[in-house]
Amino acid sequence: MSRLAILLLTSMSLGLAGCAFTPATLDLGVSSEVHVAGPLGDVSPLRFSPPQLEDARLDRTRIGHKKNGYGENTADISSAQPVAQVVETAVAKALVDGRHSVVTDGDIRVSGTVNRFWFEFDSNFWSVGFIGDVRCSLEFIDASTGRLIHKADYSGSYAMQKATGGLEKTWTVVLNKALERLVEAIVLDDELAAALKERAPPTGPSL
Amino acid sequence: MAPLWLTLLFTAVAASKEPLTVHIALSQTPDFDVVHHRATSNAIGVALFGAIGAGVQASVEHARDVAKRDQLRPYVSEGIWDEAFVAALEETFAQKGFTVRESPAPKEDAANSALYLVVRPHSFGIRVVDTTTVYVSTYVQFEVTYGRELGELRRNAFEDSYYMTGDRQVSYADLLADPGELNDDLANLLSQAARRVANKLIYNSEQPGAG
Repeated sequence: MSRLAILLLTSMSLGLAGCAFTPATLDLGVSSEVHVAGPLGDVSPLRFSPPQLEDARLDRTRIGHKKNGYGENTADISSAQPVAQVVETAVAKALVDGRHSVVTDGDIRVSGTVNRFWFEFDSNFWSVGFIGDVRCSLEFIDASTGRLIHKADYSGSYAMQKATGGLEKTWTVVLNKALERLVEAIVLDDELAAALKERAPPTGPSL
Repeated sequence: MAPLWLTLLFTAVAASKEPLTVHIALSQTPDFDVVHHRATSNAIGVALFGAIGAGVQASVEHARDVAKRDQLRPYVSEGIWDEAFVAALEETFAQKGFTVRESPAPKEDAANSALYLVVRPHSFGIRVVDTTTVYVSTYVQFEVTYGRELGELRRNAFEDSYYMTGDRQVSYADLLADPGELNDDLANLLSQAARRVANKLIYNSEQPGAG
């Protein structure tokens, strides 16, 4: 296929196929079939409360823009579920992948902010790049003492290059892969594992 | 940058696993790059002048990125892959009890528990990460191939691609006005990437297809 043909296909895919002016809503989440092992699994099993994150993105109305072949924004891309909820689920999965449990009234609270959840087109002349980027700040707090155990920023990014613009299915795959990378970042974090290992045992319920 | 082949020989006992020898090769490292105008390009050239217009526009935008790269490259250490990526790999494996040795290229290991890893850097540097704000960030893109035998490695039996961006996002103008932290930002990102690769390898080596 000539480069010009690929370019035209790219422009058509970005600008026409998938209705460039119609907002897209993506159903996002980490696949339950993906499991990552890491230092978090070296920590004796802990009970975490369900993560509670605040959506602190500068632009909370969308997670990306549809673009036409000229690079202009034409319509919003948004998430079917609240972004904070999508990231909370991913963080919970990371904890479970680390062989811990997520239960109501857990011994460790997980709170923080979602700082970025963005899908970007990187339209070149001969191909189109798709980039998913998810970032959050997490605090792990001892529920019995209120002591901060660990605080860190985590991110998951994924990039895919294709000859044509792709459709919503491709965009969903890219963002879900970024969420998988976020799970990896947490499970593979040595410093988080070390901080949890050093966590002082609960002093008992407060009165 | 001259081609760099490093083979690191690791022999150790991964937690609760049999002794593991890991051969790691880092292929030729790329030049520092700036992807700014190429990331914000559009099809105006081709719309006006067809394929020739596209070619002209592509070369113009590449040249503009090269000019930006030349502005920032003096602030980036030439040996940053060794100083940050390889050093973090070694440190992470050492922390897990692995012994590290280097050899010029991967060789078949007689040990039954050998694991081979090749890291192929694709690009790294600065790129636009949000075309709405046109903010830039450090980035690195590379592929990892690994296998329990050299044959698996040569067949690219198990591959994993990494694309990571730095935490700090700024305008290019702000970065250019204060480029002093650029090398540290890149080093931090490369170290973070190496630690992630090492830990994923150590903890998921029994399931090389994972991830």
